[in-house]
Amino acid sequence: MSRVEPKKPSICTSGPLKREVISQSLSVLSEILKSCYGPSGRLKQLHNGIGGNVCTTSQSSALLGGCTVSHPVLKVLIASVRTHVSCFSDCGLFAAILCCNLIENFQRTALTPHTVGKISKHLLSLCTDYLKSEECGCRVAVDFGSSKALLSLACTVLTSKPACMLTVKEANYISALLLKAFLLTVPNEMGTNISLGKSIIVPIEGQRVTDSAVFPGLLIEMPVFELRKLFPVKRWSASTIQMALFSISLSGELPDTGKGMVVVQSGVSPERAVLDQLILLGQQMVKDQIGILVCQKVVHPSLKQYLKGHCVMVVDRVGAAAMEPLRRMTGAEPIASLHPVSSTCYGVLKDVVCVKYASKQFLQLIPNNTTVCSLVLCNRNETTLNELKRACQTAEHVLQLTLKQPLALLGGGCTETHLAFYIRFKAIDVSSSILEELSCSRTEYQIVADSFCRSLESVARCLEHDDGEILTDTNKGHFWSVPSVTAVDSSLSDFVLHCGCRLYQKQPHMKWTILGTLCNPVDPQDHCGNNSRNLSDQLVLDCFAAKCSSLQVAVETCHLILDLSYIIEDKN
Amino acid sequence: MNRILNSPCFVTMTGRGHIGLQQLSSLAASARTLLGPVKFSKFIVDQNTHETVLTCSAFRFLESLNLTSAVGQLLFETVQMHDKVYKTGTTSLLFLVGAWSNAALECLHQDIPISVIVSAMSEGLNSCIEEVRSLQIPLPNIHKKSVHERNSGNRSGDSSPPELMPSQDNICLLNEQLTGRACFQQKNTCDLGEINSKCPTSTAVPYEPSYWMLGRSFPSSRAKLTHSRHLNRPEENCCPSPQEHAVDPAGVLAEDYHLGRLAMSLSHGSQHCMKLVEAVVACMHQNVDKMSNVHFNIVDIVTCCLPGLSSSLSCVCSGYITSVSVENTVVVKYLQDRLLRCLLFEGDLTERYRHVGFNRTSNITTASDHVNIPGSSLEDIWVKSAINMLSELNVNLILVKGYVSESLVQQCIPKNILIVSQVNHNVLQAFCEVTGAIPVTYLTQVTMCCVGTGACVSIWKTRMSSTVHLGHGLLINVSAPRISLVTAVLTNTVPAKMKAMEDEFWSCVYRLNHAITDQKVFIGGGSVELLCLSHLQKLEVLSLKQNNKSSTGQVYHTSSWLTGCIDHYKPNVLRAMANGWFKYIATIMCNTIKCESELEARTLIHDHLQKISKVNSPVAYIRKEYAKDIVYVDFPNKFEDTFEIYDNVTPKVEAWHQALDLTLLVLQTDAEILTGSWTPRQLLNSQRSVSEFVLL
Repeated sequence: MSRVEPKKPSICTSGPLKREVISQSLSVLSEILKSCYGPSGRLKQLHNGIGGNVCTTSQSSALLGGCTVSHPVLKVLIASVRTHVSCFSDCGLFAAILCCNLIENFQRTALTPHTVGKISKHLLSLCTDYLKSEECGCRVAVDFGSSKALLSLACTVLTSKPACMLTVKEANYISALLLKAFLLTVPNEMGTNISLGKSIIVPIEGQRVTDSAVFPGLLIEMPVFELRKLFPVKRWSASTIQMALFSISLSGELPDTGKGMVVVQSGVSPERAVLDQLILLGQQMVKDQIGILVCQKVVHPSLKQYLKGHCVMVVDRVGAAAMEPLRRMTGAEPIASLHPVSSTCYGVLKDVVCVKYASKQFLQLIPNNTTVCSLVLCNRNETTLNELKRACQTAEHVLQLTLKQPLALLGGGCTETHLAFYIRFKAIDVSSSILEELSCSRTEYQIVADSFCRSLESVARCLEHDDGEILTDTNKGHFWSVPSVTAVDSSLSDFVLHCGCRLYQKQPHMKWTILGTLCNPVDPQDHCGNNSRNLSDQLVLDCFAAKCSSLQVAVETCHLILDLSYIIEDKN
Repeated sequence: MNRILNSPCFVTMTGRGHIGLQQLSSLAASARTLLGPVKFSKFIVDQNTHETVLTCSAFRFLESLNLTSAVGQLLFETVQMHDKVYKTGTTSLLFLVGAWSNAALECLHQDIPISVIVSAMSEGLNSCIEEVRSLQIPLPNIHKKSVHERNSGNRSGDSSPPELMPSQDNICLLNEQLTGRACFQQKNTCDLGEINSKCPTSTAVPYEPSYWMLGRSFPSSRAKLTHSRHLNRPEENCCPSPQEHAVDPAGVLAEDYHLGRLAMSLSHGSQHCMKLVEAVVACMHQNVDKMSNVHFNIVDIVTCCLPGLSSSLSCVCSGYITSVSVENTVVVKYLQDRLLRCLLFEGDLTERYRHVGFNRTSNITTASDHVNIPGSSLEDIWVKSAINMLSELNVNLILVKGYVSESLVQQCIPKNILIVSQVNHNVLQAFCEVTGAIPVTYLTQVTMCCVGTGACVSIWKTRMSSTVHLGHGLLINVSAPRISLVTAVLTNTVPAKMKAMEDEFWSCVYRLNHAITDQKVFIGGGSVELLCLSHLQKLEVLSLKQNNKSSTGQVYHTSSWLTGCIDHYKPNVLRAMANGWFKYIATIMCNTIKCESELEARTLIHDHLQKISKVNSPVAYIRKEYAKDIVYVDFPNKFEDTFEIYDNVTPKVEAWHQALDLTLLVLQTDAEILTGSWTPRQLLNSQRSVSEFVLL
């Protein structure tokens, strides 16, 4: 007997942002995210409270990935940031915080969402045009002839994740390793159809960070007693070993019959029959002079024994993640059926060796080309190792994006303050044709522009977590940090050392004001004198593509959320 | 009402009374008495089940607490990781977590910015680690020193308390395995009788053989005494061949000597277990090829725990000691003194067993055209074919990693085939190497070349020459000539202490192993910590003097003002950190009853610190003066040999790093987010007030 329940009516909420519940949740979320931002950001412990794994993090990917929120407004925000993170890895927190700030500041203006949307879209295009232009004052070209800028990029990503618990020395060490691994994945040959290789992260906990290392090829972890059993291996020539790569299970199990029932005569063993097929396959491998058989899944012990008897090395259970790198580095095509196996599917390896590294044993598969490499990452405990792993993945992605577009933005808050500086300057004498086009008044334009700049500046302010004060200089609009006003009695500018991105150092002719209180804006491009530039120090650099995209995502998501007038929820 | 909050909850935990740090500090405080060589065990009682656990290591302590809070879990993970890698130093780790959490809390109370605390503390620790390098002793130096001491006749180790020494009978047992791997070699028994008649069970030279076995000082002039280890074995029906006697024990001992000495220096209050480790070393030394340098291979050590027997029966034997069911007694007796052909199985030995990764399809039925007669089930057929195969290949011994089919075991007994189940990988590997057997998964894989030869089995007896039953089944020793495997038989009359004793044994094994792999040790007994303490105090004074001079912090600061003012706060942070070391040394002194009260300990440490501050070289002072005073707290019995006390280098330094990393990680955490679906009731049960949470 089935019971029919009447359907509940949907609930319609109007003006969602004006509801206190939602605006409160939004502000809590934005507080959480703001407190995580930057190298001295505070960490969050994500856990299920009943003994599950504890994740200590300040990264957007882990924070937003772990959060399941109930309010649709928050869902929209989180979903768009996560999409950005999945494409660019970096600048997720920037996008989320900027979006929250924009929503908050625009709501205060009491202008219609429509007007705000139009004007801020224009401001966004001003920003992106400026960032893409040659004159941009917060952009540097990345020179691939030297490792300096690339190291800076990697190092900035690592040091902005305090939960990795890296010291300066360790951060530099890991940055260098990351760069080495990245360069290994860049193919040597030229051509049209070239793609980047892959570096595979092999995490080891309980070891010093400086025990991390890069190995060419693929490392497969294996207990020592299994490693010893693998050898010897049959070689095709001194530097080639033929390899067959299987993606189907060779465990000898019967194929799934679905819902059907198989009836077998007693005395007939289906398992035996499958095993016979496997042995036939083994015979073909031996005949084709395969030196090493790699299987994603399990290989039947009898087949292993047979192949070992003929000096064919069997490596099984390598997992799905290793298949693509294996295919790339050996040229082998994954074989998905028992037979017929075409000999064109086979790939080649240069060598197979045992590696004992940091308390673990690995089998290292060394290819002829080096587009695949393994990055062994060590850290002292699980939670910091996971954070380091995420940070390294981000850094690797940043390097890849930079290779596509060899530009970088100044980090440490300087890009944000400089952009705000630029927009403020542009907003003063906005041409009436633009106002006409946007169909808004000059005041409206300036109110929105001011809110926009404030939002950018308060993202930069989020870098400060210890009650310090932020200054900005009056001709470049960079980010300078000083102790809080109440803590010092002398002039704040006495405490200035260098700007956030470390491009400029304190110069006698410089003037500073507290961020956001700049009275008469000047054109940042007027003062392009490089006399006070500091080029010896390592700069703090952010990924260009990721930052541009996150700026865009933040503004557009903000529009979307401000435009929401009804939420209709299906309560069934 | 069971409203589901399908949203993360958000709790803040910062502020001056940082909840996370307070949790760390209180957890660590409860393990205070576990620190140092003299430990006070703890009982942990489960209020629901009334189960009680006796624990005396930080790792077991936290393990049995079953912590569910985020901070508690992080702490346990850290300690567990340290235990997994190093097997020693977890209590120091836990104590320092507590000490430094208190230090961080103190700094927070003084309104020092968190980033500065992080930076200054990690800088302080790194500086300490640099400093204590001067207290490292490379191993070859120890060797030289020991040899020198021996030559100058400074052998005071002879007076070790007898109860700590395995007795002669034990030695016989041991040596039967050591040199007597040739159990199967036919040797005329008159030889033995001769020796027996020459040296009746004498008490005149009671402990000399122990030296040989324990790998301690043993001048070559006493080489002849090696024979005496067979004194008490009239039932011994085989004897080592003359060639094996020819192994010069003195030569072995020259090397073993310093290992033995090193081992005692690393015993840290568990001399009993360390003596067993020494015996393991000596035992391995006999087995390993003289040419190879590996004397100490951890994978070749297995333990066999026998609760209920007197702890004086603990001993070390070459081979694999394990228990089998009593029904096998006849089989073992039959197989004794024979060369056995053996098979090794990597999985279970049952009809139903399939290798890992094999998915059984459920929808297969067997149609049969004749009636099922008893004895024709799949299992019966499998057992029958197994028995046939085993007798065909003439196999007498089977070592199986997993379970074994009961009916197979039953049918093997009349055929005199011994099956040992639940054998771990290392053991299988050792037998694989020495007998030439190839481990297989299925019976169908077995061919002639999978069968190993040369294994032997005997009933294991205690030194009282009694077989052990005690509900353990029958204890047997499975061995083979030149096998690298050594079993440490651990016995304890109190079953509750068994686990602790096993842990203690392993931590001794690992301590020696770390010393060998590091090739260096620290001067122990708190010297390292004292140097850290005095170094931090020096740094504190130094940073007060050169205030306002910018330094390079250990942690990056984009906000540069922190880099500028770090020197302003540094003295306070360093002072708080130094207090942690202070408490550490004081606690050890109190626990070892070196000092009766904490006040006394503090006075003593202050005294030393003042003297150190006056001398030019703190290291020299600690090596000479402090060592005299404190290093021997390890040995309550001063009449015993005056060993130096050493500490491991890597495990110690890593424990410090781990402790600080965890403290700083928690310090920088300001909120916890509970993920998943939570009901208000669950929140209440989690011992927090609902008002703490903010729902998203």
